[in-house]
Amino acid sequence: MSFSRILGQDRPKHILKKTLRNGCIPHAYLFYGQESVGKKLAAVELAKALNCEVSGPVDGCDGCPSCRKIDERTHPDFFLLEPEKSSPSARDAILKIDAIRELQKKLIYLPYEGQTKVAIIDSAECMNPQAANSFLKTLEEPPSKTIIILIASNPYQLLPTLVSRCQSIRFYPLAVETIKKIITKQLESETGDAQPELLELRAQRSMGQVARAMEEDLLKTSEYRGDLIGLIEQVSFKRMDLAFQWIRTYGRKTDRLQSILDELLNLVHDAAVLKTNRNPRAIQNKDLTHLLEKVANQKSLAALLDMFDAVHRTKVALKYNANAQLSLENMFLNFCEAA
Amino acid sequence: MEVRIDKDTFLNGVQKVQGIVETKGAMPILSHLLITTEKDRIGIQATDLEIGAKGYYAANVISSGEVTLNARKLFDILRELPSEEVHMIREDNHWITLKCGKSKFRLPGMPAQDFPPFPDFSQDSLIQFSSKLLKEMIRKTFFALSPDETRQALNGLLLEKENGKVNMVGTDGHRLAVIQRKLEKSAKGDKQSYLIPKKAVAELLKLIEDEESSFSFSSKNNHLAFIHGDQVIVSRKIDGKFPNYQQVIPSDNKIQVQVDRDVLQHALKRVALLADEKSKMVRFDIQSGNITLAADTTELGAAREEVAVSYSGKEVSIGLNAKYVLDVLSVIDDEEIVLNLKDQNSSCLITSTGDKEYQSIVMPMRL
Repeated sequence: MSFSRILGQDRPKHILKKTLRNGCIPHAYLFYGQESVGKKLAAVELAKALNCEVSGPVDGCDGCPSCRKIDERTHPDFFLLEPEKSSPSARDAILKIDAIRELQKKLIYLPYEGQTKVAIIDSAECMNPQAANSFLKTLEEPPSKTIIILIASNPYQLLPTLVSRCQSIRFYPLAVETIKKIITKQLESETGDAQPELLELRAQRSMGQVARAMEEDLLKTSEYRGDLIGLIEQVSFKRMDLAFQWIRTYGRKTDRLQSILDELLNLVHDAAVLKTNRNPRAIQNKDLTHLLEKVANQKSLAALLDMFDAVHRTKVALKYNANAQLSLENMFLNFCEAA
Repeated sequence: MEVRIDKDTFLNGVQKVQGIVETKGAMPILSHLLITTEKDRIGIQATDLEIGAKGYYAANVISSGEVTLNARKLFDILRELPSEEVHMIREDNHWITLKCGKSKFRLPGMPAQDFPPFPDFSQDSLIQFSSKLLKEMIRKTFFALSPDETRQALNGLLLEKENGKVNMVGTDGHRLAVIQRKLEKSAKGDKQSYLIPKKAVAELLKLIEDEESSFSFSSKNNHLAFIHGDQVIVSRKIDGKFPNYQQVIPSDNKIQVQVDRDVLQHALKRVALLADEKSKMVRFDIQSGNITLAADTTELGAAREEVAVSYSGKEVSIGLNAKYVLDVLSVIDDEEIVLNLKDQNSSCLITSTGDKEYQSIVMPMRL
């Protein structure tokens, strides 16, 4: 059972299995949802299931030559398109019209050895408008025995004309337990050791994304949280010195600033959740609950919401190259006003 | 694996599949060719997953086995070697040693089991062509194929078999060429039609060397095959429907203008020099006794030439793409051709006096 290799994502899995059993597979799918929650994995498993020589077209077996070749990406009827950087120094990777045309050229033939040709477009939102528009016709009426799977973490960046041509399946953030299982396996295979207490923390703070849970500096940035909570608690017009001191220490770390502000955002969010007493599972910093409760008791909900806004605005400003020091000072002034 | 083979035989075999091998691409193994051994011959095969070719060549097989070798490098090496016997030995780790005379080469191979399996093709011949016939049919229709690779159905030649006759059709939407020939031996049967991808046709042309041998055509599942003695070309079928070309062939073009092919060809070439670069339009003014070919553009200038024809009737003018007409004129073998017209907005059918089974259509342009 190869769909069982995908942990979590019960709903998408259920939908896919059912369509496979009924044999009425749409010509194009759009898998969307946060990054790193198993969209591509599911697409590959679907390709395997459709072409499996043993248990297809209901599920893959992972053993037959067809499944093996798809896993190794050497199957002649399996196409995986990923955005490429046009030059090593280019900022963003994009999917260009040439790649799409090349794919269209290959899709006109009947399958080489499998049952169904499967084309997966990973990060479909990276298609530039020319590429997306050239793809419309193929997406609407693909050649026979072909299914196309678009994968996007942000479907709103896709052309609406693309989205309307696909059947959409939403992928949800993974549960903490699932993340823990996945990263335990990955860490064990990589380094051979997995420290349970760190795993717990990583899983808690992953926001349901495997890649985030695996990030090197996920634990590092979490060390800033103590300072940040202190700031939220104490900053006021009387204690501006705290804010200035913090800015002096952290304002220069421009490469880290976004993730530090993310932490701040999460802390404010958690405090607000505690304040309203709703859905304790949404809290990401469970290990600091006792500190957060203090903050929640001290501040009003409106103040917390204002702070959240302020941090968010600062993040956007920094993304567009605003002066870090001024932006941060401005943010803390907003904090003071809110408090 | 160990093989001794004549260098020229080997080179010939490697050269035949060069056109198919992919030099760049996602799968590195496709830039390699696979060499297999049989009792007293070796098989050389290559594929780009769209078309594949396989040929057998006599060799002294000392021990059996399979190897893959970079096709380009092998070809370059063989070309430079003296005409002696080549000695090929596989080492344990997929490396291959080639020895010839005093030269020695070591080349890295890839695991032979990773090479895409040769598609299953049928030996049952559906249509048997003589080389001469196949070559003629391809030559007279191939030029009309669409160069646009995304228009899948127009990117191949249509091969139809019906009641002992075989048709071949090529079109790009602006022009069409259709040729019909009788088959020497063929059972009567239902109409069958196949689309042969452009690339496969191009490779097939390379394989036709002499005019004596024969080719048989077969089809199985998703693949078509052309078998020629020890050589096979297999192509994946194109997924698409060829347009109904019978509908396009005009039947009531009453105006028939008979003209000497050679004279028209040369005159048209001259006039086309000043035709609009993009549309290549030349105006054909047809009167009793002659055609006036005219090209008139503001940037390039004007050209005009008269060609004598046997025609008497009303005057008619039509604009045609000179390149399309020249393509047709260059493949017709007869001395005299006939332009069949209706009016300036209807398509022009070009036939030859000696061969009623070859028809070519060129769409007109607005004057």
